[in-house]
Amino acid sequence: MSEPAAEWPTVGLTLRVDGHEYPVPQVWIGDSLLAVLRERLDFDEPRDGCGAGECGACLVTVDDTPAAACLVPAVAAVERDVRTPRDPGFDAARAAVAAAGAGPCGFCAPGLAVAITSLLRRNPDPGPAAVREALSGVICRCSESGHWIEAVALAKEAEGGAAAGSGASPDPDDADLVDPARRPEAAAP
Amino acid sequence: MGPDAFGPPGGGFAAGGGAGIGGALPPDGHAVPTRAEFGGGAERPGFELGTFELTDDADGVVWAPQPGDGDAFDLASSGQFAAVTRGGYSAPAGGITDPYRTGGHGSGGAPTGAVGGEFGAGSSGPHGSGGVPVFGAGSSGPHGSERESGFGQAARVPTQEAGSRFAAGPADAPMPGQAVSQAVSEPTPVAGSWFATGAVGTPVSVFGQTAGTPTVTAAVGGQFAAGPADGPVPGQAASGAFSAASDPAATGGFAPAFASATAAESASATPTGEAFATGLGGSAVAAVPALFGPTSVVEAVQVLAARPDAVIVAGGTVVMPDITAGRRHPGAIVTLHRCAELRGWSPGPGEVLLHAGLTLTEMQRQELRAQVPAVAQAARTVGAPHIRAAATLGGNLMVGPASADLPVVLAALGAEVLVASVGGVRTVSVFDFYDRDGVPQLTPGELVVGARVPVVRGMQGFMKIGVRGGTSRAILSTTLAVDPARRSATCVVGAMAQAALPSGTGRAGLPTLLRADHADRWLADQVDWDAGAIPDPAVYETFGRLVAESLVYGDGAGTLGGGGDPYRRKAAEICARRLLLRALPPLGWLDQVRELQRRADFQRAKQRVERAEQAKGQDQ
Repeated sequence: MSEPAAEWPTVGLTLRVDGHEYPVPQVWIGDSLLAVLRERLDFDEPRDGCGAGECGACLVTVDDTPAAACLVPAVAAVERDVRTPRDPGFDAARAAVAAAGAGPCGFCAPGLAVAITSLLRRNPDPGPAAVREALSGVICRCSESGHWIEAVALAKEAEGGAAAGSGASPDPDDADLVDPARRPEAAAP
Repeated sequence: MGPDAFGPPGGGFAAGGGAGIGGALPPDGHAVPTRAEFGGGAERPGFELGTFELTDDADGVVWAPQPGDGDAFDLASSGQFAAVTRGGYSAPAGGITDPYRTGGHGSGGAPTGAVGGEFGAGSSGPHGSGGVPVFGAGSSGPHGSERESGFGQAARVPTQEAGSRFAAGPADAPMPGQAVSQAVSEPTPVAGSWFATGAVGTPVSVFGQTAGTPTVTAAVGGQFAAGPADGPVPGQAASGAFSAASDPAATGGFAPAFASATAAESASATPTGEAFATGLGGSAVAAVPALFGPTSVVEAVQVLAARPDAVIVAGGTVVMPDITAGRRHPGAIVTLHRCAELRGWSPGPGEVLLHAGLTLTEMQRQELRAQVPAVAQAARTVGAPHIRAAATLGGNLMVGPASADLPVVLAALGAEVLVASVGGVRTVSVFDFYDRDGVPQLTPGELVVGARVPVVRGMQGFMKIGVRGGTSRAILSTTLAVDPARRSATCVVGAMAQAALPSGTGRAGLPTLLRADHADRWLADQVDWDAGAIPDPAVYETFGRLVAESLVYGDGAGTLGGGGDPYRRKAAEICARRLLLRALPPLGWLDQVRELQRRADFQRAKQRVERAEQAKGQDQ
């Protein structure tokens, strides 16, 4: 690298990924969380797709909020709870994605699992339209949304026993979760 | 009856334009249907184009950490990350001396005649040291010292004396009676508590600031405009509550090395390698603070004053792709994710203050949607859910109306942008905030901290044309806001200059934020404001045509389809027409709908009877 070192200022960080603390020395301040996860910590489930937040292949959750890891500065992920698709919390969705054939090539499958899991946490019983909008941030080139809806249904079944006792209720204010068939005006004669 | 197009704002017009109506009008002077009459305070459905199903109106919190769930995110544990951060703006009663403006305003250079802007002190949050600064102290609860004062009252608290010096010059002592900081401890917003009206008539909005102890508050407040050279910054105020910045070795890991403003100033003179040296093995990099995580607006603008070249990252959806792709190489980064003051929004008298860190997901919540529905409609058309959870209002404002949607909405609503710097907070309208190419007009060291949006009772609508049916970047977005009190409608067309289409339009010659003034004025004369409807059905077509004709291009070169961009012209016409149709329906349309429904029901019943008779006849 020909530039002087001062032009690449680095810091040392401690990231908490999947419940474990990882000290990472010399992280460039412009590095994204995705770069640190993949290239420093060997978490390769978040895929490096577009690098611009468009494709959703790098989805992780930060403080239980799905976030594109390529858009989160690594320095902003400090002291926050980062969960990659490797986390056991996403196992059910990953299995469902595999079973439904929702990610044929597998590139976006981990991100899809994150999106499905966070959808089901917010809305345990989403309709097809809610699924389509909630997963609209994951762009898949080789599948279609029918498989995704099936994957959501499978993940819902797999998590059904666990989620039933959690008392999670659909958040009706989450705009993308309301199935039009269940809207009040649709029920009216 | 001839309603005048632009009556006086507020309640004045009942005696003027609506003189013939007499006592039938409500006290505030109009009988136009408002949003509250269309189902639970919601906007009228079906406004969005290119989005999906509608929403219902139940309340809830989306993706917000619940208070007390022990999250590492500091806001969550402090309980401040509720859906709304309420109230608590400080309002000065007397003039505050502003070293950058004294002499330019008011009483000829007298120290008291300047703009009344300040960073006042709020009451303390639950955190002990450093604290989590929020807007005001709405949820201070048992912590700290609760102070309450009504609108316009001067609550002089001794500990705020220094805090009120925010704008005082270096040699100035605190002026008697100028320390007025209000802290609202009830969740109900106190009218007028959050914007200041200075003696010179220049409203300078004020950020109430909460810190752990009153002394810290006073120190930061006093530091604000006094500048870096005046007075020392206490360590706890500058570096905030990030305890890991103290001793990384003790924690066994690497500390997040957020530098402070003082570190930025004295970077060359005294290398503050306290946290930067961690893990770097004595690298020369450690001497240059390049990472700043301000926890308050005061600190942020101090950092920006010291490092105007720093790249500001809030949501990251705009900046991070540039950094990753190498289009932008940050020498220093200011992350605003620790700045709790910039989160959420605040209700005010007749307007709401959207803080710059308000995410698009938060904009869709019911409480804010009831106030400014067009903002919520626009927020929903932007990006994927995980993008909306990260993208902020400030980022949208900085992207500008060339491609972002929210500036278009805010312009139609008559919003004002608040820009903070070490010299104070200035307020600029959205139209003046951008130049013709949609580039925000900021000087180095300035930070967009929010937008004040007036709350009107009329219908608001947003429509957007993207390149595909789903959420996408706009190639045209339109907003229509009706203000029945002023008897006016405002239509703004924007987001036209981005090269979102394959042929590309570029920025040459295209207005990025366009207000269809003549169409609005013409429309105001065509509306029966007392019925909230339009008598002449031809108005809709004509209004759409007028809006489309206001899209005046330079030479049309480079636009889609050649001169004049007929696609966008047609799209603007259709959007404006439909927006108007939904905002101000044809006169008597509800009666017509009911009549049609009645006829249809009758026909169906009649057919049913006839079929039954036929079946009976066949059976026989």
